[in-house]
Amino acid sequence: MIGTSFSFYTPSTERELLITLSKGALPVAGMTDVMVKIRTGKMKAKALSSVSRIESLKGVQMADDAVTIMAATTYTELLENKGLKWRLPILLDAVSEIGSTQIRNRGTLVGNIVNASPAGDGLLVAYLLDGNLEICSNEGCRSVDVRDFVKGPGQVALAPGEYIRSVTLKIPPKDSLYAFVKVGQRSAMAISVASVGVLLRLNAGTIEDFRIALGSVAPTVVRPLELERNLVSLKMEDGLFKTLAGELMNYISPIDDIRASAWYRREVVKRIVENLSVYLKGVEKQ
Amino acid sequence: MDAEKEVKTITREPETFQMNYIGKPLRRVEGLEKAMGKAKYVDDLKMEGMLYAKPVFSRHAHAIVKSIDTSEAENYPGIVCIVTSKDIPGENELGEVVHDYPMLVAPGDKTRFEGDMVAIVVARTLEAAKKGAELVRVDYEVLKPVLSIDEALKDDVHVHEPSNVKHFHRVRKGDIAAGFAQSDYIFENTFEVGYQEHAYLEPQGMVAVPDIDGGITVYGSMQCPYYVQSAVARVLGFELSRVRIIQTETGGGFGGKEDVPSYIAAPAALCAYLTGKPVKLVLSREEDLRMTSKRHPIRVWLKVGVKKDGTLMAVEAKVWGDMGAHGTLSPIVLWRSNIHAAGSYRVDNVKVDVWGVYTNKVPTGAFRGFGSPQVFFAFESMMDEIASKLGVDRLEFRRKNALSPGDATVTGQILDESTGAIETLEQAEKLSDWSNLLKRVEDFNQKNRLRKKGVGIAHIHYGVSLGAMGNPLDASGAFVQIHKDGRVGVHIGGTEIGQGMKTAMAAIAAETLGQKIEMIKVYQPDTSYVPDSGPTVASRTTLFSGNAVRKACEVLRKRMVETFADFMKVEPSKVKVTNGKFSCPVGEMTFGEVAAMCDRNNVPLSETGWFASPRLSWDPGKGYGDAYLTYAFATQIVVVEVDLITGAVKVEEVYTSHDVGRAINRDAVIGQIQGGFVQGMGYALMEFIKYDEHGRMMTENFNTYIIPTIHETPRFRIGLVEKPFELGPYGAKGIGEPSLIPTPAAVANAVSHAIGKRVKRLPIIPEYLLSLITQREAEVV
Repeated sequence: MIGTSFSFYTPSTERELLITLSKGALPVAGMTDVMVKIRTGKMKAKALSSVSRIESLKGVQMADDAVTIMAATTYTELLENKGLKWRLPILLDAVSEIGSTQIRNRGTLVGNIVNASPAGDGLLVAYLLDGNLEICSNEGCRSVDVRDFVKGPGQVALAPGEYIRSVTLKIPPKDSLYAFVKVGQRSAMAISVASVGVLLRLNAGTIEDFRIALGSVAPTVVRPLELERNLVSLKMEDGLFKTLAGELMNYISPIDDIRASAWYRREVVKRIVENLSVYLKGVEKQ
Repeated sequence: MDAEKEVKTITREPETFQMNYIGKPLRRVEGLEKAMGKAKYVDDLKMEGMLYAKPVFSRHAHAIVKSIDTSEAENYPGIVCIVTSKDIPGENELGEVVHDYPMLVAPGDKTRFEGDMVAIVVARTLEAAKKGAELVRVDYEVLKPVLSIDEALKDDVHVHEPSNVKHFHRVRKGDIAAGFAQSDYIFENTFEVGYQEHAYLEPQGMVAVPDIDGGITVYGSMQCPYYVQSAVARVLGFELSRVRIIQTETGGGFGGKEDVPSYIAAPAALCAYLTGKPVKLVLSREEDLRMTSKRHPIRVWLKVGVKKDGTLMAVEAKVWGDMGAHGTLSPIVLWRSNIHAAGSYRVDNVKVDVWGVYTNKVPTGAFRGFGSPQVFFAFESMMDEIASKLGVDRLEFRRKNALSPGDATVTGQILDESTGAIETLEQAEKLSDWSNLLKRVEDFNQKNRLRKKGVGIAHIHYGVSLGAMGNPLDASGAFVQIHKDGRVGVHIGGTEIGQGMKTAMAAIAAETLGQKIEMIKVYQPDTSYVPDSGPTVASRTTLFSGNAVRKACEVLRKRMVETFADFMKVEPSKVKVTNGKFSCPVGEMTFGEVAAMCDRNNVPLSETGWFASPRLSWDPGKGYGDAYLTYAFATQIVVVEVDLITGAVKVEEVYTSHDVGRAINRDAVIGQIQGGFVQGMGYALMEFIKYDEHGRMMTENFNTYIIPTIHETPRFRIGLVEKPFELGPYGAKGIGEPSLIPTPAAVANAVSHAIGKRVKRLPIIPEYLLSLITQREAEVV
C-alpha cells in the first residue's frame, strides 16, 4: 500500500520518453529506491516515466579502453555479462554485494548514480573508474563526469527534461590489482556502513597508478586525487598503507547515524586501508 | 542453503516405534494452503460496508494532552467519525497484568510514549483514514522524557506515579554471606542487553464485526484469544458472552502477539460498536515497530562464589528490566528473569532481586524466552569467565555443577525424572567432537593474524508453561467432534502461529483415536467453542492443549471401541484401532463405518478435554519453592569467526542438544531449533532499536532494524534428548523458547573466546566489538 497516487509512463523509445518528461514526469529506472522514498513521503512525484522498456537504453558496449553501460541495464545483466569479468571485475564485485537477487533484477548502475547516496556501491565504482555520463534532452546530449554530476547527498546536476542515456567507465590499466571492501550490518541486503574501493598498478615494486574511493564517510563518495598522485612512483614498501590510512583520515568527515558512529566509520576505514594487501586481487585472465 | 541437519537421539522409548505419528517427521497440516497463498490472514478479510480505522498516535514520548481538535479531520471526504476517550462506554484501560495503559489518552492526561493513541479515525477508505489521522490537531505540553534505565533510576521525572522503579521479585535460598565466605574465589560483573523486535512476517491487525448475536466478533492475528476477549469486553462494558474472538491464520508471534493484539482489538471493536459496521485496523510496519512490544533491555549484576575445585558456592544477582511506558506483562516476564538469573546449576546459596523501571519508550513484553535469554547471557558468560580463571575445561565445569533428577534448582525445587541436563551436555560434546574442535580452532588461530575463530558454549534450563505466577491461567480445554463420515473436528484454545501447533494436535488426535492424520481438522480457535485455555505462550501449547485433546480423544475412542465390540460380539479388549481401522479377531471396519454406526445408535461422538496444572509451592514473599511444572534443558556449542579488521562476526557451526521430553513432530522440533537459533543469533549480533533524544524510534522498519537472513544461517548439528515427562502428552515438554534461549550466551562466549576479551553487552555489533578489539590490541602492545 503506497497510499499516494501518481501517473506512470512506460515509453518504448527515447522520443516517447522525452514527451513524458516534457509533461513533468521524472525519469526512473529500476525504482528500487524511488518506490521506498515515495511510500515514506521522502519523495513526491506527480508522474514517473520508466526507461526500463526502451530498447536503445539497454545493454553494454565494449571499447578498447572503456565500457559503456546503458541506463536500463540491470545489475543482474551486468553480472551475467562475461565481457565484464576481466574488464571491470571491481564493478562486478561491488554489484554482487548490492541488495538481493530481486533488487539486482531491477536495480541499475545509472539509477544508483542518480540516487547519489554516499553509500552507493555502484556510485563508488563509477568514481573509481572515472565514470562519464551521457545526459540527453530535447536540446541534444552532453557529457559530464560523475564526480561533477553529484553535488551532494541525493543531489545531482540533472535538469527537468533531461535523462541519462549511459555511463562510460574506463577500463583500468592492464595488470592492475583491485579491491572492493564493503562493511555492512549483515552480509547481504544491507546498505554500506563504510566502503573502500582501490585500484593499484605496480611496475617492479613501484606504484604506477593508484586510485582509492571511500563510501559512507562524507556527504559524497570521496576520491582524494591529490593523495593518489603523491603515491605514484613511490616504492611499494611495508608501512606504506599504514601511512596512507593515516593521511586518508584528513579527507573524510563521517557522521554518527542510525547504522554506525563516526568513530566506527573512521576506525574501520583506517584498518581496512592499513591491511589493504589482504584484500587486493589480480584480474583473472580471460 | 548450506545448513545441514543431523538428528541424533538417545533414550528413545520403544513405544515410539509402534506409533503412526508421534515422534515422526510430519508434513504441516496447514502448510499447503500457506504455501499456495490461500490461507486467510486478517488483511485478507473484506466485508460488506467495511470501514478502516487509523490511530492518531502521540507525537511525543512524554507530554500532557491539552486539547484535541477533530473539526478539520471530520470535514475531510470519506471520514465517518473520529473516536476519542469520551466515546468509550466501558473502561479506558488496556494493560494485561498491569493496568496502567489507557486505550485513548484523554485531554488532561499524559502520553507516555510515542505509540500512545490519542484518537482513532474511521473512514470509508484506508487513504481517507490516513489523511484524517494527519488532520487531527492535538495540542501538547511537552515534558522531559525518561529514556534509559539510568535516567529512570534517578526518579526525578516520573513516567508513572509514585515512582519509576518497582521491586518485583526475589529468590532467597541458603545463606548468601556464608556461601561467599566459604568460596575460594569471587567473581563480579555487570552485563547489559538491548531490545529485540519480534519481526513477525504479518503486522498486527484486527477486523471487528457487530454480529448476529447482538455482540461483537473480532477476527485477527493473535496468540491469546482469551486476553483479547477480556480486553474488548472491558473497553465496551460488555458481558464476556457478547464478545467472540476468532483467530485468523497468524503470520508469526514469538510473544509479540501475546498481549498486544488486545490493544489493537479493543480500538477496532469500539469503532465497530460506535458505527455498527465492520471495522478493519491493521498497523503498518512502522506503526507496528513503534507501538508494539519488544524484548526487555536488561541490566544484570552478578556475583558468583566458587571453590578451587569448581564447586559453585553462592550466586547473587540484581536485575533491572526496562518496562517502557506501561507495565503490561513486565511483572511476569521479569519473574522468569528472577527464576533463571542464578543459572541452571546446583548451588545452595542464592539471592536474586529483580526490579522493573518505567521509561518513556515502547512497552516491553513477551518474547520467546520471556526474560530468560538476557539473564542466561549474563550467567553463562560468568561461567566461561570462571572456568577460564580456574583453568578448567568449560564443558567439564558445567557438567560438574549440572542438575540431575532429585537435585534442587536454585529455588529449591526438586527435579523429576525428566531432567536431561547432563545428557544434553554429553550429547553436545559428542556432536561437536569437543576436544578436537578446540584444537582445530586453536590451529586456525595460530595460522591467522586477522581472522580469529572462537568456540562458545551455553547450558540452560527453562521452566515449561506459565509457572507459579501464572498458575490460575494454566489450564486448557479442547472440544473434539467425530462426524458420521469419520472426519474429526478439533477445537482448542491454543493458537497456530507458525510453530506447528495444528500438526501437533492433529498428530495427538490421530494417534489417540487411531484415525489417519489427514482425517483430522484442527479449526481456528474461537472463544465460543472452548473455555478459557490461557495464552499460547511459555512453550505450553503442546503440553496443555495436547493433553486436553488427548483426554477428549481417549473418551471418544473408548465409546467407539465399545460400540464396535458390541456389534462384533467380542470383548472391547480384543479390539485394535490403528490407521483408520477397527479390527478384532472376527472382523474389521473402517473408522468411518464405526462412526456412522455410532451415529445411528445415538452414541455421542463429541467430547471435551481439560488439563490443568497442579498447584505449585512457590512462595513469593520468601522467594523459594517450586516455580514451574517441569524444566526443559539445552546445551549449545557455537563456532564463530571474527574479522579483526572490521569487527564483523560470522557464526559458522552450531552443535545443539535439547531435552524436549518427547518430540511429537520431529520436523517441527528441528524447525523450531533452527529458527530459534537464528532469532537468538540476530539478538546476539545485529538487532537493536535506536531512539533519538526526543524518544522517537529511529529504527522503524527493516531497512534500519537489521535481522539475519539465510546468508547468515550456519551449519547445524542437532541432537534431541528424550526423557519423557510423565504429565506431558506422550511425554512431551516444550521447545518453542528453549530453542532460542542458549544462543545469545553461546554466541557471546564464542566471540569472547575468539578475541580474548569478555563481551559484556548485546548486541555485539561490529562497532562494539571493534572497540573491544582495539582495547585488546592496546593491552597486548
